Amino acid sequence: VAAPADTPGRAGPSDLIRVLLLPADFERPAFLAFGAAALALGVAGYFHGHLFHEGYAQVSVVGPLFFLNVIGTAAVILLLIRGLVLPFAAGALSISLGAIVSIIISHRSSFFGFAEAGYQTTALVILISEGLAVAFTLVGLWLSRQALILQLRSGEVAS
Amino acid sequence: VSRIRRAAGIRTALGAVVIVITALVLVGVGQGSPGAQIPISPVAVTAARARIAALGAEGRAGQADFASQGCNACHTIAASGYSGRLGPNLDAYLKGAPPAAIRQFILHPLTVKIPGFTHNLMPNNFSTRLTHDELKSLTAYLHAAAG
Repeated sequence: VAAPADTPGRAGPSDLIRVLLLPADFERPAFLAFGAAALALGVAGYFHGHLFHEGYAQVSVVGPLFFLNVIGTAAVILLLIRGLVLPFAAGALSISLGAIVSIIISHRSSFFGFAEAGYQTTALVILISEGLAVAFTLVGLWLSRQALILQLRSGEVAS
Repeated sequence: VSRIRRAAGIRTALGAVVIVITALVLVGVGQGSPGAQIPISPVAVTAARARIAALGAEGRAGQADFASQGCNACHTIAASGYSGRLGPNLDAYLKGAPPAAIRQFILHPLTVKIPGFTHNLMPNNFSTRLTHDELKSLTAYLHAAAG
């Protein structure tokens, strides 16, 4: 039998969301890792914008996705600047892994009807940057795991 | 208190920088541009449509293959309303090309280098993706469209 969400000492979904959206107080190594992830994500977003203007804008679905990648990347970096580590990590991993998978699919078969054979330099830079963003985000999460667990526990106690 | 204010100031400044860079990227400041769009006259477009229509079912099949294989995402064929700009404009590039050369372009695109375009992007597996009839109708369609 599930306990009621508002039972003292137990966090309900709304409490969990509130805690996840609290600015985290993380230490320097984790800060550097997340900063590096944001930088790598920013580079990938910048070059997605570059490719969008270089001709991908006319490609249906893929073109708008490139545009959304730029906007999503900026939004996620702003989350980190605001100190919202977990939303940043979730966004960064979603964007980067999504981009990597999409690039691989478009080179192996077709992605929404769009297929490519080789890689131009810009696409390679994007692939490497997205990979680095994933790696640095995971490193940041690992380094800040204790602070994040404490944060989650404090939310449980507070509720 | 001053430390907290300074940190907040840095965050605000960083946020502003991110927003400004994003806005510049989205509007295309300092970004690239697609390959030059070669204008084609309305008369030429009408003539190309007539040539495609004259092919009958083969022309319609070729046009359908062009779209279903995703060629229209990258290439322009004005007569069919395709305006892809990632690859060369086929109205101009294939103009006057014999069917054998068009067939070669479809099946072995990596052997073709066109200034201003990345030569290795086009899939080079159309020999397995297209049936004999599809390749024939696609070639006929492109030959008619480019003239």
